[in-house]
Amino acid sequence: MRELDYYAYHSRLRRFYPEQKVIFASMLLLTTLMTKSFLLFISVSVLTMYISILKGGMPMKLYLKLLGLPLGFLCISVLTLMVERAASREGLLLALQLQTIIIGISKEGLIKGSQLFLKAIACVNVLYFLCLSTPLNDILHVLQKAKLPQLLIEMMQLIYRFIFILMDMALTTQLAQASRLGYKDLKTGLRSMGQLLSTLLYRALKMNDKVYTALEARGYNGTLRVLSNEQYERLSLIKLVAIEVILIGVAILENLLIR
Amino acid sequence: MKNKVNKNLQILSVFCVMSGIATSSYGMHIMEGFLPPLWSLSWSVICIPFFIAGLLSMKKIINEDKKSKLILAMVGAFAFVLSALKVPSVTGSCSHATGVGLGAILFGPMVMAVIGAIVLLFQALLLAHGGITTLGANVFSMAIVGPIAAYGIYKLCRKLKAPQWLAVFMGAMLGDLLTYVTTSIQLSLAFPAEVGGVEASLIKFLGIFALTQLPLAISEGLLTVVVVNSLKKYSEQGLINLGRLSKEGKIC
Repeated sequence: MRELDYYAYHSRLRRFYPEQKVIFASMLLLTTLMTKSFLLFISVSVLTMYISILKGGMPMKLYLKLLGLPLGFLCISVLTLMVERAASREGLLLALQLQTIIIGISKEGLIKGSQLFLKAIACVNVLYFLCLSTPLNDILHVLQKAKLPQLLIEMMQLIYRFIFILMDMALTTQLAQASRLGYKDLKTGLRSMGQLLSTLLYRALKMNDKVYTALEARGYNGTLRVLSNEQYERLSLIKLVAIEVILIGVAILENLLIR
Repeated sequence: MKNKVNKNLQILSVFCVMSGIATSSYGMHIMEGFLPPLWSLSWSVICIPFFIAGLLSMKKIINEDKKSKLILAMVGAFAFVLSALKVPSVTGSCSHATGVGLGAILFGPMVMAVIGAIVLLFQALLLAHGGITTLGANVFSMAIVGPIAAYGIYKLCRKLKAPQWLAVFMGAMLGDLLTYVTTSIQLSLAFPAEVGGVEASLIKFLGIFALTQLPLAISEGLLTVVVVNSLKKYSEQGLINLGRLSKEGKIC
């Protein structure tokens, strides 16, 4: 978790307008979701990886590691979709017969499955482009400008702040436990984990009291006001539109070629 | 008292083993880009009325007691941190909606729609669990169906004069289970099988998701009991102030 946030703040793309990045990412997501073109999925993936790694300065190794995160869900769901019951062995690439029941993967299933796989990977790449170039605070500013309810934005800001404090607490405690052999084997490890969770909740509520007192002493009346004086640069609109047009062109081209 | 704490820890250990095993193999957020655009949109639209009702109810709670704003935020952060913590000896993280089930019993289900949605958005942006386009579907299963089920079952058990721990356990466990059933339904609606349509697809997904989530749901129930008990103890001793909650006597 640290990684995404850390690299978002240190990205070379951070200095650009967050609104533009959000819009660009949504455009990419939309085109990826709407089409069924293998070429488009691959080009979106390559494009966003290029932007994040070479333009944004994200280490390649770490990026690939991040990309591996959703693979578990993806593989299981895609496999679940591809393996189907069939009436006969005909047309199945891979079949398994259990007495009278035949299950297997058909050619259409395989194409559909791999399409979904690549599509999801492309979308995850786009999501990473946004996560790795725009810190959450910037995204919250965009949401604020989009006129979302004030209460919602404030809640998000508060949770975002608390997450890091609590996370720190949790990780420090876990490190302290580990350095005292608290995780030397499974049984001890699980005991330590239990201690950690209950302490964490207690401390969170305790800290809450202190934060509230501190805020009240400074005249807190229900809203936190934070200055934002970030200076942003503009991305060239022509480039963004050109990328979008090329991508759609790629999708149309593949459609024509297949026909 | 020490014995009691030890017992709680044992229950927690069981929880950790179970959730570790279950989550090491399956994540349950629908990932980015997995749903067709029409379904992404429809689930988001379905979420909107719940979300607005949640915001209104949250406003009411905060107007009554300003401090509850921070407590709500803290619950959100706690739920998030829980989902990001590594469970010992099992690779991968344990990502589930524990805090959300707990929050539904403490604060009512409406508020949790908002808190849950925020936590899910943050999980997508900071942990890459779930995604932006699938946010609507995930919010519906984890922040709307789960909390409403948990709260309803908790209240029902209390009405039937069940002891509090049992009510909390049943609420959290069944709420959790229903979340995964909902996720399975969402996936099968979006991807009906060639032969047998939605039903056949639903059976496949239910088999894989809900059944593997059963141990996780039980452990989630146990954990929620432990947490509610310790909350109760702490607030009885005056160590923490739950604001509006302790006044209403919902848990204490």
